[in-house]
Amino acid sequence: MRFGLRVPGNSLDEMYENTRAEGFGAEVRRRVLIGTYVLSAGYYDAYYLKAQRVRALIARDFAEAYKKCDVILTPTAPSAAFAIGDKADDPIAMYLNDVFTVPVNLAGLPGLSLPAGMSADGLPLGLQIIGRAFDEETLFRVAGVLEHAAGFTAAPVRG
Amino acid sequence: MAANGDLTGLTIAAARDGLRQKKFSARELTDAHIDAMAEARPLNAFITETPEKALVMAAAAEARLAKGEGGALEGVPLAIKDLFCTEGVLTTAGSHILDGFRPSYESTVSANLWRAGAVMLGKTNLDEFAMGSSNVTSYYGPVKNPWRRTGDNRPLVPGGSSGGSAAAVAARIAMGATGTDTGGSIRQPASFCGIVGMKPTYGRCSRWGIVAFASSLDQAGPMTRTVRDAAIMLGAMAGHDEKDSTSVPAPVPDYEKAMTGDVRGLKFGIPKEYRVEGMPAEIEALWRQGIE
Repeated sequence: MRFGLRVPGNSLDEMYENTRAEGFGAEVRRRVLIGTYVLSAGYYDAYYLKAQRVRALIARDFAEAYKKCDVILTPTAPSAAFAIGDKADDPIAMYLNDVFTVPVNLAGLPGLSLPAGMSADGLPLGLQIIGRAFDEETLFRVAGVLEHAAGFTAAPVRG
Repeated sequence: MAANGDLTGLTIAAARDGLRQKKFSARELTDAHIDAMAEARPLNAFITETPEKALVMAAAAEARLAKGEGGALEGVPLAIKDLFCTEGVLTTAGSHILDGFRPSYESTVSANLWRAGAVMLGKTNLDEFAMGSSNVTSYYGPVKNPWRRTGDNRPLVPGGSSGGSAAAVAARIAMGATGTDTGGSIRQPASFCGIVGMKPTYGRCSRWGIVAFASSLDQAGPMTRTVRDAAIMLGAMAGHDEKDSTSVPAPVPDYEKAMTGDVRGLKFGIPKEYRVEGMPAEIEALWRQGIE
């Protein structure tokens, strides 16, 4: 190992095990395990191939929608910021933060979030604008107008 | 401008104009942000601060500006998510396992920003290998959102994985920051911190030199306080790169020019599938307000 953490062990294998156990955090280990599982021989078709088909369907859905409209408007996230420590023991609740944004990545499209309002307890909330592939120009044009209409001027204190 | 502090409230567009009109210098602008970075250290937005590098870059920007030269971001202090490899500067991806990794090369996106004249303030905190939505999985500890709920002092998450970048921009430590977005990692923290975050089309920015998470989804993008600033910054970041075979060989349009203020004739789509169960009424109301 030319760089990075190195945790000694009694053998080369043990050194690798110790280094990886200490070097990767719990969430990264969880995702490495999930990834290894869904890509393993017995489950590849059930998970990975199925996911690829779903991805193609999502991309097709967007393509169909853009025959009828130029941009798509959605909330950015299903909530405002939450307290540090909340959702810590519920990975699914944590993953749902991305429910409105992931489809845009799967379809490879441009998406922009801008602050558009405040929650009842004084936190910013964002709106997402999704555009056609490589049409960032329309996205910026629409976002500029929405930004002006929202008139969001609140700012937090530093530190 | 009198006090340094005033300069941190400027947009990139205003700073660009102020620098060219010599209302303040690149050195003054950078100093103000270095001070802000030190003041806001309790947010834990940065893993590595590079004030010495920032001053060297600011001096170079100042020399170019004095000659009437300079790029689109000349003298503008930016923060770089610590998922971008930066030559000679510690790059951690928020993980313990990369301890001491100082890349011998610079990511294409950050190199493009430096070529446009931007000044590097430091490397921002993130979820470990960008895997998270609240910046709590970082080996370097959670980032605090500069916002607090009314009447409640509990620290909030800035979102993730580009949480340090979002917090730094919202707290006016950096005028803009790079993010990366695999499933929402630019847009969700932008929403949580009240700033603008943009994920470009896949292939618009080079992924070369960015620590990969999911290679067919990852994209770099700008995080700023205004839409215009995002347009300026993306213009500098984007472009074809031979070193990333998925980057698109197409010219980069002038995004700022695209902001004509005129949306007549455009059709907005409102997907009913996004009305999810349990979504707070205020988010639904905001959405409706945006539609109107």
